[in-house]
Amino acid sequence: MLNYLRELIKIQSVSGAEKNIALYIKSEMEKYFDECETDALGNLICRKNGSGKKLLFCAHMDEIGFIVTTIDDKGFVHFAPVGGIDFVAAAYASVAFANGTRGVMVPEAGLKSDDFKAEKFVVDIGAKDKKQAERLVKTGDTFALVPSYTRLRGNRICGRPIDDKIGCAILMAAAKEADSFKNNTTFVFSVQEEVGIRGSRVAAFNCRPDYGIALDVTSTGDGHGSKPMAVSLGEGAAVKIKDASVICDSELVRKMGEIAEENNIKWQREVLTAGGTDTASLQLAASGCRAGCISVPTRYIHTANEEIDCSDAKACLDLVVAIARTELE
Amino acid sequence: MINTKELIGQLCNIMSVTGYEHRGAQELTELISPYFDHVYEAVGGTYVAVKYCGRDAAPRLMLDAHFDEIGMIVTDILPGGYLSFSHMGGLDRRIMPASEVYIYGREKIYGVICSKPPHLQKPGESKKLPALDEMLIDTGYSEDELRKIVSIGDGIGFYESTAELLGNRICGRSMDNKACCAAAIIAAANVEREKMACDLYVTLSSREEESLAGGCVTAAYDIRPDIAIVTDVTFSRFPGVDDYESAKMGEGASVSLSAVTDRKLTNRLIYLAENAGFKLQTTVDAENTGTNATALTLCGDGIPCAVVSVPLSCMHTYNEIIDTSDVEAAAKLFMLAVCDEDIFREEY
Repeated sequence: MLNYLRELIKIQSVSGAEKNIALYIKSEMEKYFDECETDALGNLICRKNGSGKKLLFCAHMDEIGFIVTTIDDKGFVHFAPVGGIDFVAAAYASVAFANGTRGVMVPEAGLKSDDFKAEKFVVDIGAKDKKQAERLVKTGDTFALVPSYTRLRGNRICGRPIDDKIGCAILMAAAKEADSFKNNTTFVFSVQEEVGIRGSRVAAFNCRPDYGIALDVTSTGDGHGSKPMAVSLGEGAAVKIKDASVICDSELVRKMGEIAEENNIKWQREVLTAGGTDTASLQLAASGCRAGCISVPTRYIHTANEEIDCSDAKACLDLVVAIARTELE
Repeated sequence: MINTKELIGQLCNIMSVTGYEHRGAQELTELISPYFDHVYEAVGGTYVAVKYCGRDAAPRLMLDAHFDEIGMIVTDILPGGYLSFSHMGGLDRRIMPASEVYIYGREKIYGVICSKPPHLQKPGESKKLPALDEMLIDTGYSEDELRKIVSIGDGIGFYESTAELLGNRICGRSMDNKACCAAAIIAAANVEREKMACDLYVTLSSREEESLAGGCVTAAYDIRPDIAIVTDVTFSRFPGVDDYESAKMGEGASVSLSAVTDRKLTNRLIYLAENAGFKLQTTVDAENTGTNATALTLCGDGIPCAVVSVPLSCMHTYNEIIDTSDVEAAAKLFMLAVCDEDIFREEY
């Protein structure tokens, strides 16, 4: 799982530009699943044929980033955000474009952090003028903060983008157990989650699952100055009850907790007061399905250093496999 | 050959305030039927006009232009022959007082939105805009006469005022989005059937101005196109508007670069234009195109969409200005797309 995470982090996949990461995931998934196809929007839909209920797991492939709007005479790159960007966290960070071009995210000189917003930032790619910059970067190109993966003490890692490459890595690792699955199981690697929970909606419409479970990150209440929240790093897989986009199916939530208990998987209940996940669109696509979400507790989401505890990710992986192995009714 | 200015003028004169698109059904059908094999009104109020390529199981290209226009709706009929109203689509309150309007009741009658003379305004009143529900329309009729003609819920539009400016420019009400409707119709009319690589479904769609999704999505659900091109107006460039979110009038159509539209299709359109010797402008709409494409992409199991825009100035007023050369450039691009077999390939 962590090997997958390391590989996935390296492949840039700003919303709308998920093609390369889909190709990589597909090459792995084809080893374990029966059919892997990309739909009209670029969602990767992988099916493991089986009898029983249609069970769908979904993790989004896209990451937050930026899109080039224009290049000025000094050679500075202007941009608009793609997804929820925290500019305090992005200030002076290194960025990378898909073609390898690097740059620094620079706020207007003297600007106070309260006034940080996209229009006040440029990326300095080291070009001496517009002409030189345009050889490397053009309007409409996407880019993101430089990816990273760092081991911290104990079981912890930090880096970016953990959101939601960890979800993808969990599903890829779970796929290895596909032969023991007891449901008609589909894994969806979705696009455009960060720009309004878009890709998963059409994928779910296509698959018409009975059960839809998203894999994503969630906030925690145990960080420096965190808002109160009953989710902590190292306390296990978080089973979502509610976030700002969805109220999960209560029967499915109960069942997930029960499966976790039966399999001695450490789990915690999650109520997230902000943020949304693919769960919302799974629940509402076509005539709807019973929807839930397994979350990896994560500190500093949407920054250059998102932090997780690997034991939580492992618990999420175990829970995915345990659910897939449980004959659902 | 269709005269672009004339066609736009004819389309602008068909009242299509959001929610009242059906009012012009007969007029519109008569106007465009000569250029299509089949024209019908879908359940959601969208007009679907089809031109077949003549081959079985051909791929389907949907070319969507919203046909509705901003306007108003009668909320009450008041003593003295006044009408109160609410908005249908995004109105700019700055342009309302003293505007001329038509009320589309049992017959079309004329009205003027009341304006309080400066002499009577209280100190400071000129600094703030009146709310829509403080505005009234003066029709000149008595209440009794008015009630015979107008009912609560009738549509209201700005004065029909298409006029020619210098060169290729024309101005008037509802250039947003009749200009793009014209581009789609011209493309369908001019494209030679033998050269078409697909069946062309032009959707002149309903209710974009009120819901940004309206009738185009429900129509697409029936059509099930392989790809879709949404055509709508974009901001023309003027001081104070960022270059990236605007396009220059008279310099051709513009394509949208966005996280929510299909890059492959967008790049193909840019290639087709360049290959044919004309340039497209680009606008960047990071997360939301502000057009039907944002919703259309998510119809059913997904439709790859691109957005092609015509620059327009004075958007959402009764004097929207466009350059017909941009409309013709868009039409030319649509013809290239309809004749391009490779546009339907998974890889190119």
